[in-house]
Amino acid sequence: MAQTRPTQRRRFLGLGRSREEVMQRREKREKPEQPCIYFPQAPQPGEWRRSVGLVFTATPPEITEEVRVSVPAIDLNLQRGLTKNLYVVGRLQTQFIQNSLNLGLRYAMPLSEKWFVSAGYDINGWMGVLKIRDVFDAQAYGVSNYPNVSVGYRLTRTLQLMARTEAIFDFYYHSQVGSLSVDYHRPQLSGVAFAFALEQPFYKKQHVTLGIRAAYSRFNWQFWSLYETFDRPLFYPQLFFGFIL
Amino acid sequence: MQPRIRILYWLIAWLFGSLGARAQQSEIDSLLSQRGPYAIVVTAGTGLSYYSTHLGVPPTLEAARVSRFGFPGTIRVMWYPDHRLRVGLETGWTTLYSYRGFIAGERSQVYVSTTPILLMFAMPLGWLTGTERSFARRMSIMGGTGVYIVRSRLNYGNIVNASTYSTGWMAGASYAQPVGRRFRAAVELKWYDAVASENAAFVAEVHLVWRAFSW
Amino acid sequence: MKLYPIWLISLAWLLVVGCRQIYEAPVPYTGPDIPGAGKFTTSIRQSMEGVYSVTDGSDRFGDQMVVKWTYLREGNDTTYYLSMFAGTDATYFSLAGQPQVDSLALAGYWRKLSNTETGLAEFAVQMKHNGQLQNYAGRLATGDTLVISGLYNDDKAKPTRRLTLTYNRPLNPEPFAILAHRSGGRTSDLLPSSENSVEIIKLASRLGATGIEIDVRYTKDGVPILYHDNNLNLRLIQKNGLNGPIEDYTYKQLTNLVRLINGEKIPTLEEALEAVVVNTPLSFVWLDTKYIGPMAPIQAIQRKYRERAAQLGRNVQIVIGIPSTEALASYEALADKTNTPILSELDTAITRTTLNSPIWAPRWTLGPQIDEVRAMQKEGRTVFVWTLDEPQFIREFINESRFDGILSNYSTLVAYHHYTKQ
Repeated sequence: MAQTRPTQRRRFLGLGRSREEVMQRREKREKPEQPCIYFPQAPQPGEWRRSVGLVFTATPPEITEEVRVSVPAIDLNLQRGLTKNLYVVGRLQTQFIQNSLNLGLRYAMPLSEKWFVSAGYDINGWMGVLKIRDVFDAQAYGVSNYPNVSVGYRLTRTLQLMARTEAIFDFYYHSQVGSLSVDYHRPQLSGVAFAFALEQPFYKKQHVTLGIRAAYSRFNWQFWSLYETFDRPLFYPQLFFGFIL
Repeated sequence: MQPRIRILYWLIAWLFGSLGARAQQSEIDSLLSQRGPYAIVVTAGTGLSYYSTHLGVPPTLEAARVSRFGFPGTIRVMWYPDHRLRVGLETGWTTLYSYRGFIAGERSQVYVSTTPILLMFAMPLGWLTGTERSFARRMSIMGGTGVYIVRSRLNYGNIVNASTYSTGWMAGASYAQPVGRRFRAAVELKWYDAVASENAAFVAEVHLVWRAFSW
Repeated sequence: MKLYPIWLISLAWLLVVGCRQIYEAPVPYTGPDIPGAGKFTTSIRQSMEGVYSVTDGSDRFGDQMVVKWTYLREGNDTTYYLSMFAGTDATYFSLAGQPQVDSLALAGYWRKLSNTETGLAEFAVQMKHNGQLQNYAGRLATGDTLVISGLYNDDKAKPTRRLTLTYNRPLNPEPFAILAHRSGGRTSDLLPSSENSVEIIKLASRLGATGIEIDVRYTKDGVPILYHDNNLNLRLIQKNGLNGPIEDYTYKQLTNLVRLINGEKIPTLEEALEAVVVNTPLSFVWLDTKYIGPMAPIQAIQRKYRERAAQLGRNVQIVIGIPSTEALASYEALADKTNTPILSELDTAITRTTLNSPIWAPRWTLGPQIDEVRAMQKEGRTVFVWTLDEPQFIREFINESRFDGILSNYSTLVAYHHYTKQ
């Protein structure tokens, strides 16, 4: 009598479903269950994602001394799916006199119905101009790179968690004060950042992102005009809140 | 208008413009189309606080006596929309710590308290799958950020009342038991942290939760 | 109920808010620094000052260093210190002669101000004669070269790594004011003494400064003291629960209950100026007006210590800074403005006409302002720039601009770039 071979259920990364099941479900997937910006799931090819919000950065005491405030910036995100897994991301943070633009690529894939991962590489360009009579005649710009890895967990149908780790590489810095200018060309690891975000519906069908980011870096573009000189990573905690459009 | 600002203006206008368009893309959102109601919920309570970080007493103080306990009060106004996430404001007052002693035989006393003014976010642990009887539905976690007004009162020679602002945050959890159609009784444990002034307190409170308005 | 997402959120929150690293850079050298010159006679000290090439150790400290002597006078005792300044990371060495050793020996510590690196160091002064290293006895023949050779290491580790300096050229002799901010340097650079303390005033010349800027405020009972910020805060003082404006507290309350971050008392302006005039070689004091109120008590103290310096045969310039229109009003309200040197931070028109200030000090963030600086100097005014800390810009300002001095938290770097300028 032929012996029935027991079903070999190969676990995919030990997360509860076989690789075949995950792949089948991924094939069936038509649209994400809910809008997201930070959650590591690619938009459909050709699909746009947008969000608008605010990001608050707490000032480190080493730089701003007794002035301890949370500095707000307008935070705009724009993403577009290129393939099933690959998408391009853009992020503009602006305080009008100083701006930061991220452009990057992400490759995202589901590990199971609940777990998702992505890897990405963002290039950041920032610039600021400050001209105040008898106080400032300065401008600066620079380029940094943010390679990043994200993990997402879909807690319920409407609540998604995301954790992201970024390395911050400073690549180029230029500043001009009056007629004098300086440049730093040396690429260096400036620091790391950890971000955590929740994405969920807020009211009616409006979805939001609520997150925190802790950056430990030698430089932060928002404080270029203070010309800090510390060669040690400083702590820049951020709170961000955005409406996914 | 400078070109850079004009580009920014159009970018923001385009992003906000798409907010209206989103309303018609109902197939993206699998949530039910009819939702609600919304509510404004007012919470008030009191309890016990314990100053939970390092405490500095001047080395010149002799026979120093320190107290880390206080009786806090909290008022919170939250908007409960038709989903899990809630947002609101919290304020109140709590003792942080006090100490007293003598300097060259003269009595000296310092008392430190704080008033938090925090933007709060809260979520019940259970939502769509929970019911009013569900423990998860009654449990909430919360976090907030904002400023703490830290006050000090020194009595040494003369009395000096002073205050300063400190950025900070809080995190907490609560359990709310229904006691009527509009009221709940809640117990809450939370951590206040006024980061800039390095003050932190652990607070346990009993709250009365009142659903003041709903629509 | 799945609780692990809650733990994840809690962990995330703690990671964000709970992990701010506290940096420290305690000086590993405990001395004692013995007063007296020992074998370092005046002529030997003078012959040692100069710009040196770094042979061993250039990977850590750059390829050249400035070597300069200074001193600290306490009562009848004078202790001589050899400072060395490198062009990287605002590095300085503070070394004291070892009179108990029968040779030209020095010991002390080094510190990089832009980070937390520090360590012990010890050196011997030698000369290279006919290619051979010999002990230096104060006489150099033609062709002889001074060599300062020694060892250093990190933190408290016994010095084992070689650092060799070979004399290259004399120091740039051009007059230039190297002004140290906040009495010597700011607390956030983790200096061994707190900003605006008597202790940092006594350290300032070892950091390369020829003068200092100090921040003056009044206590509630009208005592002029040194303090920078608007409020008592943990950036500057040890935790004691007190907060709010320092002007709310009496001097008795401050002196008995408040200690600066490194444990010092908040000094009075008189204690600070006494230290400058009696203990240090500093020749310039910029009294930054942080207070809003009458200037007459400050003027009286200024006059008193200018006279005291003159009595001691010291040339110490003490000027009152005018940084704002409020300070301008206080100055104009003085009954008698004679014998009251000032420094104007206001625009050139006010500096010339309203104040007729002999010193003009614009912000560095306005750039070199070469035309304005030249015009003011033609009128006989001195021009300083403040508060310049960015290392590359310090070099640019020294090499490309025409200022008579720089106010900086990194007087070590200003000293390095000024003395090495050719």
